[in-house]
Amino acid sequence: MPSAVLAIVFAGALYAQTAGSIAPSPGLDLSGNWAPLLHEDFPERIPGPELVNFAGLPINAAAREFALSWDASRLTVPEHQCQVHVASYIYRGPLQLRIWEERDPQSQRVIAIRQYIQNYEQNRTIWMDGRPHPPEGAAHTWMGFSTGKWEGNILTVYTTHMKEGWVRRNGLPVSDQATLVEHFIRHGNIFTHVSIVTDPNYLTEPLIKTQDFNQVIPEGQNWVYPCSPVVEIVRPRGAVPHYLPGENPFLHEYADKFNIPLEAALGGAETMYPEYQAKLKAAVAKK
Amino acid sequence: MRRVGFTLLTVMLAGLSLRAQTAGAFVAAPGLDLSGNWAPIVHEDQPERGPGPPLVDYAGLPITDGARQWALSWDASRLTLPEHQCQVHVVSYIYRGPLNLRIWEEKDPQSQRIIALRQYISTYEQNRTIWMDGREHPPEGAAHTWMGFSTGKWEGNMLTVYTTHIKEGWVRRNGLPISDRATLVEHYIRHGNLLTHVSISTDPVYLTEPLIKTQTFNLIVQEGQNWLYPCSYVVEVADRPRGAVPSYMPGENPFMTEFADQFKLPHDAVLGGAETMYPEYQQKMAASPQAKN
Repeated sequence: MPSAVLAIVFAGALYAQTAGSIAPSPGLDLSGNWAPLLHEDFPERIPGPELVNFAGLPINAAAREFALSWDASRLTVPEHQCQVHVASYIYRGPLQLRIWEERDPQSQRVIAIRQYIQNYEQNRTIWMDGRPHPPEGAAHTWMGFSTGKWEGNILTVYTTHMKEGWVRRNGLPVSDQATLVEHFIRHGNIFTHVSIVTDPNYLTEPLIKTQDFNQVIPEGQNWVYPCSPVVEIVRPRGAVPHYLPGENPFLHEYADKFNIPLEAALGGAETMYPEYQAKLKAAVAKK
Repeated sequence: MRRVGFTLLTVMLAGLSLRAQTAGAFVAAPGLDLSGNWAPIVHEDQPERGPGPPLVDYAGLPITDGARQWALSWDASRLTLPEHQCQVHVVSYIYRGPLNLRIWEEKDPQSQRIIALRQYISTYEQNRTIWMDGREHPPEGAAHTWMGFSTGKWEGNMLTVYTTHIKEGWVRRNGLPISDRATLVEHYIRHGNLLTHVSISTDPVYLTEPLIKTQTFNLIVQEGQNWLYPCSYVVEVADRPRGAVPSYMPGENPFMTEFADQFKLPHDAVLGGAETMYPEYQQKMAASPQAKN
């Protein structure tokens, strides 16, 4: 009998300690170190895209004009040597990605999901606490301002206030008016990152890309990315390499190499869709 | 040819730029990433961890006479005292609780080297820091806390942690104490989505030998676990005189033989001590009069 009394006392104490202690939170835990699966679109991601290969991108005429005036030697200008990939592009970089949660110490609710992106040593914050985006005139940054929510087990993130960057690193720009919607979808130790870029200045349709990451448990990855600008080419002060309209010497190089029509290489929304293959075949046959 | 020349130049320039950006960028860090949410596999030693140990079952623990005497004077009703209702399990015991465990890294924002491994333990809402930056332990007179002061290092892929400055707690929650002089060595060993936690408690006051325990955790990807542990003390026994602490005077513990009798064990065996930890003790138990009956 005394043991039974003690058991009841224990139970009472346990109840006092745990009642009301459930704090459900939706979604999955994305914490950890993640490495990209670089074989996806490898030629574009490591060697880099060919000059004047704009195929498959829903760019407008202004974006095309911008890119045709872009000289790759611009990357040697000190102001551009350490230029960060914007949030809408950086997940295609050879990055290592670390994700962790920031929680309210009292409620243990997630305030933000933090990311450290090794490429250009970028820290990114995805606010999960329901706060609004800043007003239109607020400062723009490489990573922008991001808010997230769980849609089932998919983390959906909306980003505004990014700086101008590019949609392909052969000169095709994305403007500082662009917005980004992302979906982070975890499948065990793999997660799929979907990015949907909308840009009223340089895209006629949203640009959708996906890339996969693999969880990496061993430490020892490359986590820093020192970049100090130097004078690579002695130039007149203020000179910026560029091509004037109609003078890009690489206009036909990619198209000729792969025997495709120039208009296909110059991109546009039409070139994204399967139906364009028929037009491409007809043009090649005619050529 | 001129175009090819331009392209080659461009590639070379891009290469130079890439080299400028990535040269010297490798920072080696040993060990594994333990980040994530971990849940205990509580069927390991479930009777002790869920229902809790029987009263006066000290078998298999290397306790001293002082610890035994302390525990025999301990009345479980002590847990009803407001001062004890929310008493935290000390770090050398808390991993046996029904906890959810979250681990994350704190890194230097410039060097990206690990400064500390942080833990949040849902049982009693404890935050724990394991310093990885080589700092020293505080002087002997520094404050003791439930989680103590911990430093860690990687030994291959095994994280080894050394903890001092822990408050007094217990080694078994039926009254067996551990003193504030105790120290703790832990090993965290990750195997994929499983984590084995080895704890080795040394206590010059209440243990004659180190006490070694292991427990395993499972990585939990799904959110929604129980992360809070609100505990507000109340008056559970109203007619207790002010300042009274439930206890048994020496020789008056009414549960002295309950566990031993229930399982037909020698009384000496349930009173524990280092001898009862070892396999050889089974022969001694088999020869006891209680076992023969």
